[in-house]
Amino acid sequence: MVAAGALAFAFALAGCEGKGGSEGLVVRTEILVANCAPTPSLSAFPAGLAVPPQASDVALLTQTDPNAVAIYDLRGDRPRARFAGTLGVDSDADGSDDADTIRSVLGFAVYPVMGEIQIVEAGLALASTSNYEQVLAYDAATGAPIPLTLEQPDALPGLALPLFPPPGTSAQRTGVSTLACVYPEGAVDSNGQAIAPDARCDAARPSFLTNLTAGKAIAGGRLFVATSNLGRSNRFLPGTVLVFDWAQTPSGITVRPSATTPVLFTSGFNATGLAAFQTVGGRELVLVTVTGAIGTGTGPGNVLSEAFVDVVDPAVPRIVATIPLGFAGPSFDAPAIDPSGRVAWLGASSTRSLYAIDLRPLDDPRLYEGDPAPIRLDGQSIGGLDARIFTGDAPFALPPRSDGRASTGCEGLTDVTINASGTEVFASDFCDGTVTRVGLELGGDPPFPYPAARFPVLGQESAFAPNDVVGALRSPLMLVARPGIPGIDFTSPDVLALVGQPDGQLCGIRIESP
Amino acid sequence: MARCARSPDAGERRLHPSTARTALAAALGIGLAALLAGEIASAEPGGSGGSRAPGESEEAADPFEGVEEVTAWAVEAGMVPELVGASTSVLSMDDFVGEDKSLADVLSETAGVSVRRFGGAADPAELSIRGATPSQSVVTVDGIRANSILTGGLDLSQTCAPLVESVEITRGAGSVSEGSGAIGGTVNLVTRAGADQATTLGQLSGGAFETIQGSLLRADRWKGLDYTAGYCGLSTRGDFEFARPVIRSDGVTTRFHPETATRINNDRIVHGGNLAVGRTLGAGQLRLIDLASFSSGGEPGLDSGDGETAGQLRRAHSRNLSNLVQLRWDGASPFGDGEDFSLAAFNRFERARFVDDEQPLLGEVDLDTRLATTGLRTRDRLRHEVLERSLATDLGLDITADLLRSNDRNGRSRINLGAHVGEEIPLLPGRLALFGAARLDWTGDFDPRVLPDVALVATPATWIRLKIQYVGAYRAPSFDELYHPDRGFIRGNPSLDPEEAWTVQGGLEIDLARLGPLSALRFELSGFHREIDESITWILISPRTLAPINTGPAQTNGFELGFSVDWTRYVRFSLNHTFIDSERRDTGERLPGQAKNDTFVRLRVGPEQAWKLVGELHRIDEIPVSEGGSRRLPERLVANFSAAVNLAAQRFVPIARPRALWLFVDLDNLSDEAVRDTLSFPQPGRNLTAGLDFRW
Repeated sequence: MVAAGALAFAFALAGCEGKGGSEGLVVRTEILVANCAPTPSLSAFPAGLAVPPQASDVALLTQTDPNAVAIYDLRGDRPRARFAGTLGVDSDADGSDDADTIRSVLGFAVYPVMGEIQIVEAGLALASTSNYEQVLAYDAATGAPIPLTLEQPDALPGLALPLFPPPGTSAQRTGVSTLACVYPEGAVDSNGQAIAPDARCDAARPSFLTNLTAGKAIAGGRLFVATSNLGRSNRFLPGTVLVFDWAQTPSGITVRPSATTPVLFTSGFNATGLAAFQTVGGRELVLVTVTGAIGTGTGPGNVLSEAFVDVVDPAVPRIVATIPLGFAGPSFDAPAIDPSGRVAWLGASSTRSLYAIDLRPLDDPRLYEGDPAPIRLDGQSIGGLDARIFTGDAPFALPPRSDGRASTGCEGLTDVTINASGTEVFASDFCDGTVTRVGLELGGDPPFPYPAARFPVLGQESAFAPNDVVGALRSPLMLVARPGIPGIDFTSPDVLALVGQPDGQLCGIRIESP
Repeated sequence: MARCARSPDAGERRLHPSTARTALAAALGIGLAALLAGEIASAEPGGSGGSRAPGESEEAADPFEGVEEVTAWAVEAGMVPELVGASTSVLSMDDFVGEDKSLADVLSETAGVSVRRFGGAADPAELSIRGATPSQSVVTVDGIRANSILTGGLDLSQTCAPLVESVEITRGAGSVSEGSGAIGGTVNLVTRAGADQATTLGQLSGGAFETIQGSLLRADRWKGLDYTAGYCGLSTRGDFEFARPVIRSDGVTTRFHPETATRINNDRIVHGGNLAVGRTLGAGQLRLIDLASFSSGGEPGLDSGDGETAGQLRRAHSRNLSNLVQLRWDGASPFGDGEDFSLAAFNRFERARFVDDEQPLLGEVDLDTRLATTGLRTRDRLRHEVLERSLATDLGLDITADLLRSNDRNGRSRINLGAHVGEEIPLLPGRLALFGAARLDWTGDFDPRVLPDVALVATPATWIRLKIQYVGAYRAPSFDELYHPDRGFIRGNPSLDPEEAWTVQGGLEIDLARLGPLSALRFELSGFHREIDESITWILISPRTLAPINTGPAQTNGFELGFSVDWTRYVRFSLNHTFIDSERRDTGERLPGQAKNDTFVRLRVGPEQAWKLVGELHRIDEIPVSEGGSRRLPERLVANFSAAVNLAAQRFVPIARPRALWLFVDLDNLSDEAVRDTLSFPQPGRNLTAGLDFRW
């Protein structure tokens, strides 16, 4: 054995251990479907998709393996990748390897995992990453990172941001750290256990580090970021929305945690999607999708606790109202809001359902008086305000696939988008591969909430194969309707779909386009 | 003076011109003319090709006085192996002495077989026959099934090559003998047992990535007992450097950062041992055969994500222990007049432990799984005469009980029964035979299946065989596929149906002992068509949950070509080629994980018993790595080289002379290619091993 070991050593010295390919290992993708483009990724499921709010010919896609933001050209029937920028190992451009940076807080090294992307303002896209929790800023037209100036006040009530510049200092980076110590009082996790002290934050009081950075919204001069906060063993810690002051000047953007209210605790577990909008009455608000605790399976049994849509008044900031959805288990995306600000729709994470809320009650001034606890808009609070249209108890059930095919073992995962004119909802189902069109009849001034009859099914397309047709293009995860008028502002497909199987693909679908 | 004489060294014959022309025509037609005329069919190995009458002397008066001497090639018939019906290869591991070949290496270089490797030395490797999945191929050890009842597959890295004497590969058939699972075919590993004389085999080598391996095996007789006892061990650090994937899609390229990484947490030790003890008992031989292995090491997992560690698991660790023991009696049939009866009682035990205290969301994972299969296997061959024809009837009976115990799920068990009968009917004795067989197989709670096997084999001459075969097969789902505990992100599917399949195949074998200056020429061409329905595939039934489902029908077409030839005793050339084209009926897309073309070329130079230089080229087409096939691993051409010298065959060696003492150097992946069989598991680049191999 000694002789053999000596031989091994000698050969190693002689350079007989290769590097396994100096040219790299080139994995090639192939266009197999005329209207779809594979993502430049090894991962099946792309992380996010966004299009600019103005009529535009580009879409931004986020992906993992490797982490990247890709720009797609939408001028043809098939989206074409134009550029992909990878994150690298210093994703926030702080000059340090991300693993080294975060090891000081977590005690071990992790790198970012790219999450969803949203275009929150003209020209500005924000992408979430988890593990290395942050929000990255990108130019929505080019995909180039945008530098931000981060500042931290001398003191923060109820929050610590260990990866922000030290209190009283500032630094320029391309991402906003959302790794925060929060200190919920009297809170429990989704298993009903009291939140214990986390020594990484404060060994003496209940605390935890935020994780799974999700939705973003800018409203009222503030940046809101939802963090889902999943604990070990599939238990959910209280959901949070981090609040940052967002100052945009010609010289750049400055971000600092809100000195008064840096964190909001949501009404339920798993805060995910955020969307800013204006009510019919012109009030700027932020909606928060709070899915409740959800398992990792499928079907109604996968929904473990109650869901809500929380309403944040960005001006204060505080959660002014919450709309209970019951055991709905909505999908994690931001609510899809019609352009007039009257209704918002959500997909479902575990069933073939949609949920909807009426946004008109949010113009009631009583919601914004004083500083009470959030008001439940379930018909049993002030003035009987009820914002619930379709909930877990009374969902909007998508019609079965027209050819009768369903998917084995997959009970539904839906996503919604609303067309630019606000006349239709498009809903996809991961399981059966359909895209269903639902009409939005929002005219007049009916009492709250809108009756279900205002939302007729207009049709359905079998855009993709059911999820169990192995090898076929299937499993739509996310739908996005392009801004603009099909046929006038653009002649290419008007709806984009992120597809997860057999590979991650971005597909163009013609629904209203000629 | 014209002569008709043999030139032994050159392997040539000098023939009378007319005879030479006949022989040349036969040679160029690769025996086709002979098949029709039946002339060469009667030639015996080592015969003269009919050019000289018995007893004719070279000193006799030469009737061709004055005729111009012409040199021509001649044909000497060989003997195709006695395996019938199926497309079968038998590999002797001794043919690869001094080449540092693992079991996975040897199998991957065989026509119709591919090996999916998940790393380097001692990392898992799975077998695929004709593109079938690992669980669709049955691997037996000395005739006893060794596939895991948990996953259906078998990790080839757990079996030490030095303990294996030969490998029998049957493509496209085997379900009648083995029952469930033999859709792609079967592989039987024959462990070393017994020897004509007292023998000691040993091997010691060291190489790249701090890999050291050794083996020692002794076979002898002791007080009426034949015994063989062997040990092999391997230790590796496994810390090879590898290139990360570069993804090119629609004109855009993305890369991981950094672009290379090192395999971490990939150290492993493997210990293996075999014991075979036999003695005469009654009219036969009673043998106890045991093959055991233990391995322990890190589990780096997938290459994914950015950073120096490339997303690998830093602390995951696994330990595996397996043992296969059988007590077997072989002897005269109690029912017939043959010597082909065997009865074996066996037990296969496997324990797998996996520990990782750094799973991001699950916290600590500690899985401890024990599997056991206990059973009886009996075979017999009855010979009888019907209408003056000698017939042979094969009978077999298998009874097994599978047992699963684990700390992460409920215990499971099932009983499996199988019985088969086969008949060999010589339609034209020695020339044309019909084989018919059927098996009734019952696995656990599934309905019993009848598996037919019909073959027609034509042997117009001893050196050529034509065959056509139809085989039915099926595979019952494994315990994991049925009962994997619901962890949210993965779960089993208790409502799965068995996979159903049939294969029709045909082939041609030619074996020529001599063809002009060439000798030991062997050519085999087999084509097949396989249909499979209810194929079991793990898919994401939701973005977060993986589960197995039965999928629609698929078909696979392909062929294998094997060719080998010697030129003098100094050069041997062989070529194996596999072509596989598959299609899922619903989508028209290819099945993933299969390269369309796989070509292996090997050239050995040197007198095999004294020294040898071996060069190999292995080219594999692009491998689709996703269902639907839009993502593909690149095609590759990997070159290997080895040099070995047998000191025992050298006159100048001044030491006690063993039967063989090989010193060797083996350099694999000469051009340092990036090699992967699956997307997320890299394999080593160029690596060198040196060592010695001895036999006393």
